[in-house]
Amino acid sequence: MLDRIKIDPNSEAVPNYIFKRLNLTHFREYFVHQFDNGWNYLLRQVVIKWPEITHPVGGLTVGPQLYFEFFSESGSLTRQAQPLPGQLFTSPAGYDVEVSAAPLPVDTDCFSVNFTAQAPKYVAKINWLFPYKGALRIDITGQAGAPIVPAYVDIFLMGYNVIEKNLVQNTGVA
Amino acid sequence: MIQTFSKRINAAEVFTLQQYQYSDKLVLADTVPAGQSKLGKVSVSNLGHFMALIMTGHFNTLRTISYTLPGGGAPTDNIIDDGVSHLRGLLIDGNGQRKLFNDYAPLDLWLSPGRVKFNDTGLAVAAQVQNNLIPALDSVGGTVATVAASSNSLFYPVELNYLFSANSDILLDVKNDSNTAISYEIVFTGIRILAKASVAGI
Repeated sequence: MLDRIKIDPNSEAVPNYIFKRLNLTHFREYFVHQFDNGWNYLLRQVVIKWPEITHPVGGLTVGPQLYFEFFSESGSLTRQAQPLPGQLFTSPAGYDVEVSAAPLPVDTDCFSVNFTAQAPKYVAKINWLFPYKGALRIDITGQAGAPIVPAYVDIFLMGYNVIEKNLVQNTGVA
Repeated sequence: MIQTFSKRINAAEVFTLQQYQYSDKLVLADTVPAGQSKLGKVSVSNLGHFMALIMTGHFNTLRTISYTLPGGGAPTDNIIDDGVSHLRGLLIDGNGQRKLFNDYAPLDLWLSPGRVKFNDTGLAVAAQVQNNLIPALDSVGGTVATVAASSNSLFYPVELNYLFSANSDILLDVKNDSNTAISYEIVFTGIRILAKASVAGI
């Protein structure tokens, strides 16, 4: 704990935090991210947020429970036995928490493009190393209705590029 | 049995170590004008490298709407706290302009505790309405804007393990889609690794 830190100026692990707002247009939606060539990717944690209660004119709309399943595209390898609801694998968690803007006259159409910043976010510790040229896929289910509710999900992957030493572009030796 | 420390602490060793490396914090604070983007930065300085470990931060959620204050008269522009996340940022290592995010990520996704409710007490009623501390009413008593509740946020420091070089800057390019200027403040907690020149003679 109190040991001197040895500095490697050519540090191998570089933060590569990835953000995407995924529109939910189908009852099963896929988030796919292809990782950079030449780097393995250590996914440390995932932050997810979506509007669970919205304010249409004339009343509240409570969104359905969303379920998430994580895959490594290399071999369609899943790390879960089945899709899990957001609050059972993340912390903090709170269903029925309002995340769309409430005060009038903001957000009268219930599909505002702005989240409120008030609600806690879902954070999941993953600690999963993806091979270079691999991809992460998240299957999202549970959305329902016409139009589909919720309309979108914000996904923030927090991970690090870890250099793959055996590749010729990193060794300089053919 | 819980073992807090994996080995006995040698005070002499630790004091010597602290001559070269110690816990440090860098603060990056800025105000982004309405509808604009701004590059905030904090200097790592020439003291030595900075090994970031975690980051925490907070921000406001303000916008301006036009309505008539209870006293009547023509509608005026007033700042309210609508609780909506208007800021999104992209973190950059100033040494080589290396982007640490792939895109501009909303601040409420990666900052903890995140949104702080705008609170300026001790104001007159009109000013309290202006700052959305009490509901805004129009001239006939109808509600114009309710008050965005305080956030039910937990303190959850976010990991960022990265070595920022001495003599470089930590940059945060922030975009504000509100019609009001909004402030944010971020603290990078980590370890300062002093340069040789800083510890020469020790």
